[in-house]
Order: sequence, then structure tokens, then C-alpha cells
Amino acid sequence: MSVDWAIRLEDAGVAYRRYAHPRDALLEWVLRRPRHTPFHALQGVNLALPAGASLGVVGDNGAGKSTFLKMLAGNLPPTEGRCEIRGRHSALLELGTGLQPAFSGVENARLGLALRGLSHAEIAAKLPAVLAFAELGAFAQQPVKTYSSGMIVRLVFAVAAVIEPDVLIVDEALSVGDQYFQKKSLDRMRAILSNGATLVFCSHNLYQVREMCRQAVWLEQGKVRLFGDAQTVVDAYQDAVRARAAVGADLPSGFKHQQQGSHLGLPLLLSVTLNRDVFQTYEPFSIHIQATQGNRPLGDVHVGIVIRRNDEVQCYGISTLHDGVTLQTVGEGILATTFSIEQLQLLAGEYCLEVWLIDSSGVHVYDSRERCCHFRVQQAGQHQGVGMVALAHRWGEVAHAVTS
Amino acid sequence: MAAHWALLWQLLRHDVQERYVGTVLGVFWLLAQPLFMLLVYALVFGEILQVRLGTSTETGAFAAWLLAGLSAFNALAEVLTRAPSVLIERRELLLNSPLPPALLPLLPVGASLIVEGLSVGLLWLWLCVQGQCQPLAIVLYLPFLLLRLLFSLAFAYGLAVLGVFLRDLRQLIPPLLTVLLLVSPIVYPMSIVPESFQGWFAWNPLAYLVEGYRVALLEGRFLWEAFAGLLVLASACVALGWWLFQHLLLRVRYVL
Repeated sequence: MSVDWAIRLEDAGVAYRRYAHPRDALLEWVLRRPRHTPFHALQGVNLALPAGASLGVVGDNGAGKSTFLKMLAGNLPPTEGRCEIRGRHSALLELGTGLQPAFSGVENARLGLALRGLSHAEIAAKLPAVLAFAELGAFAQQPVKTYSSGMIVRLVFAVAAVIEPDVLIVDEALSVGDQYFQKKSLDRMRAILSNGATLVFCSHNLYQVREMCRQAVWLEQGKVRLFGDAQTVVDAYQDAVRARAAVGADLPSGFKHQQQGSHLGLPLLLSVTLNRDVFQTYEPFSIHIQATQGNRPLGDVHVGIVIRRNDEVQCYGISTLHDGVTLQTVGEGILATTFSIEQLQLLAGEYCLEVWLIDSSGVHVYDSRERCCHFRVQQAGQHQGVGMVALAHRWGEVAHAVTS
Repeated sequence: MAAHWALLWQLLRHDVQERYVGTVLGVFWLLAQPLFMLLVYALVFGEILQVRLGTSTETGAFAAWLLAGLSAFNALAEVLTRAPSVLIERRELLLNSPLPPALLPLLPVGASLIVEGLSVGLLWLWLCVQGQCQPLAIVLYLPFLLLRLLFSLAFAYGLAVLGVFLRDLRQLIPPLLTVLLLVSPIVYPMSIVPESFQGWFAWNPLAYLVEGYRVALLEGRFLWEAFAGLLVLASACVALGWWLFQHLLLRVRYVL
């Protein structure tokens, strides 16, 4: 077995036991008869991270993220399997936990350093750096209960990060700080990473997760849903969240084919086909659409398309009417057109199409297909940008730049 | 190990500060309280009830004799009173930090050491002022202090976990302590106990511990038999307390 790992989890899990009353826990032990209801907060986690790795943790509330981090931090022993961490680890978990509210910032910093395994001499040596990093000023001598949440996170992060741990575990808490401190703390985390330490970072800010971490794990209901490259995992998680948001919004789902006018000789959509269903950003993209002409003149039949992301955001929509294009006749009463994009500028996500068959006024709808032709876009990496679309851009020279 | 000492020191400092923050006497409350009780016992038993030790008739000697015994008892009482709630009070640290849980029961033991140090120091000073101090007293007292610490550790570990499950324990301890004080020859000497009861008293380990303290501190002698017997008992108690702690610790997390 190679020793080249910093964190190793083997089938690790945490099961809590719920008792109706504290004494039941004792009675159970004495009588050897179960009196609890088990609750599996985390189950069967297998991970091995080499030193210097960076792991993002994503997942919904209650998915087991906090339990996972607590277990890594050593606050919570695993009840199943094994959880091993090599080297000094330091954790910044839920805000304010582990603090003694009645004591001053300095006292709490001392305790925090001692809890992370520092000796008297090391505490004395590190304390000034902690206080300098936290920038609490005169408040450092005040009881922590008088602190704002921003001050608490500054103190706690300073303690966690200043000791230069081999494994740094950072929970959500950072988002409480102001922009200045967030940047400062992210810079600090990057510096610690570049010194060869291992980072475990949990955030609802998926952008930060992608930026900070090379790998990521997606937890769902206490189990690992996906573990791998951060970009892939975050994209997959984002897709799932968007899909759920769309369902939650109670919109018509699936394929909907309206046939409001077939018997009246009105135009109908026949088929909508995509050239493929998985794209890379900047790959060619085309939609082929066929429709019947019905009894309408050629100029009174137009096709509109909308690309929707799976959280119902309209990415782009355009029609042959607005572009001044006429459909082509490809057979007896059959019209067709192709919509193509040479370089698809969409970024990672799951998308679908809406296709409308409209008249020349643009108001009357002959036929439509909503939420059809689901497709997925993958992007090569964060360097292609974040968000929905890649916008054409350039970084220019500054007119009055001062050369130093 | 050095890190654990640093941590224990921080925790102990907070523990003591927390209790006396804002008080005028501060840490000296640890001494003021037992001294006040000493005064009451000396007055009630020495002056009013005229309890006498053998031939001596002096109240001062009786007070020194009382203080030697109460030093051991008060230190034990400190541990017994605090231990059942020590894990509950430090719940936050226990659940949300990588604190080694075995350090927490050491807090009341540490506090008891301060209580006893102050109390025995005062007794030593008093005896020196009176010109009655035995040169070897402190050396002979240390083995009995060790015994007292072993018993304290045993109770601290055992009661710390049991106190989490049995919340009533905290309420039960003070009356139990009063009973323990009254059934042990601490505020009165064995000599005034009627013959028929002396057999019962022979079963009380606290009686031997207190006797060991007194003989060492006041007479400069060492009670070998008492020491050996108590050492065996104390070791067994520590093993039991530690075993309970280890076996129940995981369950403590579920119900805290």
C-alpha cells in the first residue's frame, strides 16, 4: 500500500442513534436490548486523496456535508469503516461552534490553537499572527458574545489557517465574511494549497468550489452520489438542482404536442431533430424542423425556436419571421428548415428546445412543441467561463496605463 | 503530549476563571468557602459540643485536626459535585472540536488540586507559625494525596459519563456528600464513636484516607497499612471508572 495519501476513507459512515431519553442510552447498554432509532447521516464513503489535493464538497442541506466535514475534522468518530488523516489538520466548521462566548477573542484564539495540537510555546508564537490576520483591533480583548458574525468568522478562520495545517477543512462559514475578508481568506487557502497542503472545501457557492478545487464529491442523502473532477461533479450537481427547480415551479414537463388545428387544415409540426444530444461548447449545433403547410400560403408559416436551460431560463429565441427567412418546400405540402449555429456558445448545462409554428403576425400559434429535444452541453473547463453563455470579448490595453 | 498539556492548561484556566469571573475574591473563593465551613465546624463541634481529641483541650489544635481532614474531604467533594455535569457543560467543545474527551473529567480533578493545595498550604503555614510543623509532613502527605487523586479520577471519569444519562445525579450528589461527611470521622474523632458502631466505621475507606492525611500532616508519621489497602482499592476504582468512561463515551455523543 502506497503511503501517498493525506486523507483516506474506507467505507466510512456515521450513524447517530436517537433516544427518547438520555437514560435509555444507558439502559440499552446495561440490558443489551436496542432502545434507539438509528439515523444514518453518512454511509459507505470511500475516498483517497493524495497530499496537495483539493476536494470540494457539494450537496443539498441535510445531505451529510457537515457530518462528512466533522468526521474529517476529527470532531466525530466514524461509527463504521475508517477515516484516516495524515498530518496536522485544522477545521473551520459551522460558524461559532467550539467557541466560548464568555471569553475574549484572545482567549478563544489560545484555546483554538491548543485544540489544534499546539504546545504552549507554539501558541505564544502564533497568537500575534492570528490576531493580525483576524483584524479584530480592540475587540480582541472583548468577550466573543459581543462579536458580529463577520468578526467571529474572521477570528475562527484566522485560528484555522494561521497554523499552516497539512489538511485544512473549511465549511460554509466563509460566506459570512465581507468581500474583503472573503478574498483574503480565499487567497490564504490558495497559499496553503500551494504549500502542498490538502484542502477540503464545502460551499454553496459552486463557483468557488470549481475555482478552489480540482476534485469534488457530491453527497446526497448521506451517500456519495458522484466523486471526480470538480467541473464534472459541480456541473452534474447544478443540473440536478436546476431540473428540480423546474419541476418545483410546476411547469408542464416533458413533451407536449398540441394538435389544435389538424382537422382545420392548419400547419402542423412534423419533426424536430438535433444533430446530436451532447455538445461541447463551441461545437456546431443544428436543428432540423419539418412541418406541414396545411392550407396556408408559404409566407404565413413561420418557425420559432427557443433554447431553454432546464431551470426554465430562456437562453435564446428567434424565429424565421424575425429573421425574414422563408421555409423551404421539401415535398407535397411539407416545409422544412434548418437552424444552425457554427460555434455553440452555451456553457455547461442541460437544455431543451421549444419550437413554435406561427403565422406571419407572430401572434397566432398553429402548433408547438415545448420541452423537446433535450440536450447537454459540456465545457472543457473553467477557462471557458462560467454562467450560461460564452460572450465574445477581449481584454484591452488601458488607455492611460502607468508603467512602473 | 505537550499539546495536550497546553490544551488542558487552557481549559483549566477557563474553568476556574469562568466560575469566579466578576467576584471580588476571585480564585480565593476556592479557599474562602472551606475556611468558612471550617470555622463553623470548629465552633459547633469544638466549642459547643466540646469534642476533644484525646488529652488536648485546645480549640486551635482541634481546628488544625479538622482542617487536615477537611482538606481531603473538600477536594473529593469538589470532584464529586462537578463531575456529573462536566461533559454537559462542555458539550459545545466535546461535539464541535477535536478535543480529546478524556481531558474533560480532568478539569474538576485539576480544580480539586487547587482547593487542596490552598487548604493544605494554609494548614502547613498555621502549623509552622505554631512551631508544630513536622519536617517530613509534606513528603509523607504526598502518597495520600496521590490516593485522593486516584479516587478523584475514578469518580470523575465514572460520574462524568453517568451524569449525562442520569441527569438526577447532579441533584443527588450534595445530599450524599452531607451524609458521607457525617458518617465519616472527619468532623469528630473515632474515639467518641460508641463501640457498637466502630465495626461499621471500619468499612469506610474515607476514614482511612482522612486518618492518613492527619497522621502525615500533624504527626509526621506514615500509615503503611492504610496506604497499601487504599492503593489497591483506588486502582480498582480507577480501572472501573475508566472502563465506564470508555464504554459509554460513544453513547454520550448521541444524547448530549
